[in-house]
Amino acid sequence: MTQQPHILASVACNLDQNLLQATLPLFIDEQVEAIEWSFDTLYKVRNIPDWFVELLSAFGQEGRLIGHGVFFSLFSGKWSVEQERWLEHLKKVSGHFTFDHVTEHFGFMTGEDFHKGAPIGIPYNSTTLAIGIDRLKRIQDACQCPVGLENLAFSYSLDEVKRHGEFLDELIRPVNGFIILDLHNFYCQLHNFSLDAETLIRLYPLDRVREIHISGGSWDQTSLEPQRVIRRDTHDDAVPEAVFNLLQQIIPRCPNLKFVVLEQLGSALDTIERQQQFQADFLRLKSIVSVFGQSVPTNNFLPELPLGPGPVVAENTLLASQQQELSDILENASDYENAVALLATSNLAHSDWKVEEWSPHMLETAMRIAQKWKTGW
Amino acid sequence: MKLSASLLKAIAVGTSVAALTASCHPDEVKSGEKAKHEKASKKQEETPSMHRDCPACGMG
Repeated sequence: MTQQPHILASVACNLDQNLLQATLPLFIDEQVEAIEWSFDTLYKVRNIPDWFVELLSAFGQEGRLIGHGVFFSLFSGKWSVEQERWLEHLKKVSGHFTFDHVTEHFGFMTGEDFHKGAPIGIPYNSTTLAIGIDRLKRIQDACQCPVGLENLAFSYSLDEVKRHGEFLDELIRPVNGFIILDLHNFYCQLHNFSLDAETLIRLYPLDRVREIHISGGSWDQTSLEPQRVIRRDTHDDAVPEAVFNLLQQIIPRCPNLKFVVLEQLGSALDTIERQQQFQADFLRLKSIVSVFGQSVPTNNFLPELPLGPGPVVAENTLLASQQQELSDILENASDYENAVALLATSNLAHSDWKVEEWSPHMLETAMRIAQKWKTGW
Repeated sequence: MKLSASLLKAIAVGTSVAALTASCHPDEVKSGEKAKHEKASKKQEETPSMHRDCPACGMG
């Protein structure tokens, strides 16, 4: 295995024409040190081109390929056949390629179909904790490498934002897992809840950060407060200055950091100018990362003993019904007032979901996200 | 990281024409006429479906 004396400047690299065209000059110049592949996003593509397989294999053989799941829906209260298949798929691709680690997203997916919907937050309680740990054990068992979770960009309330890092820590510790700290998601939280960076940074277990994401996003209006704008993690623009500043600020505080990944959607790389901006963002990422040597890792993020998930899959019927009800409301409510009225008479009222405390502008944003993705992508 | 010249050339060709040369899927390897037939019938489906968008991070 090749020695990796420094933090690896990486690109989220998927089978996308624009994205690969934008990345190709960086590959040619030997700038890209690792790639992250969303291994579950090619469900519409039955056959992967030879050259893409070769690309994944080349990075994998050097310990520089990381896997990033999108659709597992970690906190769904009801276990599904699709999740079982997702694990089988992960096991197969993990046997075919060599992942240095595998990650998924926080939250549960709205939407009736496995490949439709968007991840939305969950209440932080013993039920969701047990389900999350159960799912992480199953992922680790399937991929046989370190597993991690990404912080979510969305939150219903300030209290949830402040508790997110601690809850992530509780989730990953039983599998000795790690955190992907997505700094654009973090930036969304700072802006949308008017927090200063240092306050929030102190609420995250930075020794558990093995990977950092940076990306761009967009601003959205809220009809509830016309003077307010919402930051959304849409991955469709250049990396903001504030996110680069966060990167510089946080790297020296993450002793186990190994990968810093630039993410952008191919659909936002449809012109030469945008592709050049993407390349410039990557080179800036690399210049920041290269200043910091990788510390001697204090954690290999592998379980001390084989985890062997139990034969009984953790499920909770109340949580499942609440998630179904919430998805229906977010996807179908006619407007914010309608959503509030529906939530007040739902199973979520006066429960751990604390819907009564949700920030109005974030409920409206959740509706927009759910309605955007309910027909798939 | 250094990639071979042949791989870089293949990526350039593959992405410039947006025509994916069907190969093996990690899940299953088919061979012979059956695979050829399936590749041909799937080509129309594959080419436009290089993935484009992603809801994953929660504010997308």
